[in-house]
Amino acid sequence: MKTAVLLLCMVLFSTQAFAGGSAEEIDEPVELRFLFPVQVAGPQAERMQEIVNDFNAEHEQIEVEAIYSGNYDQTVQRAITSARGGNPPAVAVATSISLLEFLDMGLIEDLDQFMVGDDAGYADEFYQGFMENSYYDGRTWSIPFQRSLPLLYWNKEHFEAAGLDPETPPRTWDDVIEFSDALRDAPSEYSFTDITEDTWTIQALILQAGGEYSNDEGTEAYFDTPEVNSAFTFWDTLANDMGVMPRQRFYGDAAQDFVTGTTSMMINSSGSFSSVADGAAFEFGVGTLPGDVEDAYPTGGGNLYMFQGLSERERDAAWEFIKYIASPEISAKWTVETGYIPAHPATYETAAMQEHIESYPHFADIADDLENARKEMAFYSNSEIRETLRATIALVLTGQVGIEEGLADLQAEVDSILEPYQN
Amino acid sequence: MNARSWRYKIRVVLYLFPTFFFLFMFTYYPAIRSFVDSFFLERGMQTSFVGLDNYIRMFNNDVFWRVVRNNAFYTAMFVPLSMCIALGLAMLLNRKIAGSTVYRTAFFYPMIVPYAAASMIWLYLLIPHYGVINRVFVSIGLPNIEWVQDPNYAMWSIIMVGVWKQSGYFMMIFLAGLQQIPNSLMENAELEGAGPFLKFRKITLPLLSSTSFFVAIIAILQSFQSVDQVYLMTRGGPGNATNLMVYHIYQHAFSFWNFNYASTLTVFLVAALLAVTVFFFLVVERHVYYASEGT
Repeated sequence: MKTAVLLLCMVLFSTQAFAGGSAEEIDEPVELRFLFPVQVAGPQAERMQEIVNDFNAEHEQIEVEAIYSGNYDQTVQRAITSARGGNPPAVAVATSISLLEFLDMGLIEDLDQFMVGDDAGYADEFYQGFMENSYYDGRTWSIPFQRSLPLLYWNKEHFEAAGLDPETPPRTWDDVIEFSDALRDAPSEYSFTDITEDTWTIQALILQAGGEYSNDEGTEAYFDTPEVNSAFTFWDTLANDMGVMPRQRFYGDAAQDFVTGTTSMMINSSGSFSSVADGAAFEFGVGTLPGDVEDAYPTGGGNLYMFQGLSERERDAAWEFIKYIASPEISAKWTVETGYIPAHPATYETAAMQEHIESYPHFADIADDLENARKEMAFYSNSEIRETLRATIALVLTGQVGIEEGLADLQAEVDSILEPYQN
Repeated sequence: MNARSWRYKIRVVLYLFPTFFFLFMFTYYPAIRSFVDSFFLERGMQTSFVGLDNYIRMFNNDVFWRVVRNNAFYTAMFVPLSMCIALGLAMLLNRKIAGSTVYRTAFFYPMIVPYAAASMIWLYLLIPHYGVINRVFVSIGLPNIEWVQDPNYAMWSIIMVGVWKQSGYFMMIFLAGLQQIPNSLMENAELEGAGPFLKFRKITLPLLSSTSFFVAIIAILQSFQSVDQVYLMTRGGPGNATNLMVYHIYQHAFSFWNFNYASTLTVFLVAALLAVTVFFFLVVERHVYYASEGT
């Protein structure tokens, strides 16, 4: 019995001691935890650590701990579980479309509270195409950081082999079909590869067909429409009627197909650019997507979020940190090292970026084309809806269900997922 | 006497405490909590009691039934395939052949490789067009197969990795069982003129029944718990063709943030496993021979 009491006392005292130890003292630097993902492991994490080290060296009163936390999904998981467990990170990089899930659980800070005084109008300086996913309910909830866009990559040698002009990529859906037909003569298995195992590039097709995926609030879906039908038909034609496109590809597989010459054209993220440039032993072109009724595509990539549950001093320090890593200078450095698309126009004016554009001119074309960038698909329960859409794409492309029936089922299922949010 | 028994009891409690603490924290508490959570629904920041709504939603959900069918198919293929291969290997290696230790190690080796590494290696071998397996296929005139991308083959790819991974382990258990069978029985049978098939059917199989029973239960439980290769190789796709129970639970808990629905699925899984285990111990075990009974 004595032992039990003793143990109990020890436990109580030790927690007391811990609680005492973490009490803030004004002289101590503010400690912030910063979660960031790396989609392609390795050097990116080291670069990020360097950026954070520089920040810490310049700010005596702030000590940021950079925590590499896996890919986007894992980072979001970690941020959500630790925030719900009462130990939120100060700042995290998460996909721009995680917004409604964070909001739904009441986890993040409204950033408008900081955009006063000197920082008034801070968010207006970014490309608005990249800001669209940050706004909800008239407030600003995130700052764009490492953004990406879907791009068209084409193998110039295969174009020549098929009698096409290697400097003229397809500009419309009809071009894609025509070129794909011609590229049957190229030494490749497939003419065209698209990312059918994710739900990002189908959004480009839906937008290009003149459709939309949701209302502004993300509480209603519009999948059972002629525009979505024509997006699915485009893929179905290429994959099944013509047999020139693989049915199931994710970003990495598609990039592998492209660098090994298994496919002649591909749509992939701007984020795959450096791995393609490193791997391809042939001349290739990169450019914006072909369009249909409209020239449009969704943005992608990661934004900076601030989490609730911080002290006032921590909040101010976190805002300082967000402004630092979203600044044009750091953004240019990050773009040069990773291939992400800068979200701030001033980034293009920096010397580092100007030099980079000389080697990789597609960055300049992208900057000119950003007015076509649209909001990425973002629903309440977005992950579940994306998974449902992903399953429908697979069922249609593998011929297990027809397009009309597949879209009707999809609409019904998504409606039932969204039902609790529709009031 | 009284004081001693007091102290004795305290000592027992203290010895048991660490084990009980961890069992309670990581097994009993989560199990109880899952059961309780399955009757609630969290939306945004509000949690409300919804009775059996989650269960009704589950039983009306097409994806759920797809997952149940997938898992049943996986079990029905994985268990007999891995057991037959394991028994075959064990019988081959039970004979006195040169280098049998090398073979045993080689066949056991996949068990040591973590599932994550094994899945990545297989994924690499199975890549369409330039993966090793497809190159071999194409070079001998077979078609290129999109192993994990085609719904007709994706589940087989998952089963193949599971069987490859576990057969060696089951083989070791069978080997131990085979070595318990007295040689004199076999010699007697041979004197009576029994052929290899008769010996296998009349001696090996019955005397191995307790081992087989054990392996079967382990294999069935493993088949319900398989998640690693699904997560790494197919993410349940294409179109839920390879979505298994534990992956489905993981999706709802940590990807869709439907903790309550995930708890409901967990309760279903636990109930299903319990039913299988009870069935095995009450029905199948009657036909099992334990060596101690015979003597």
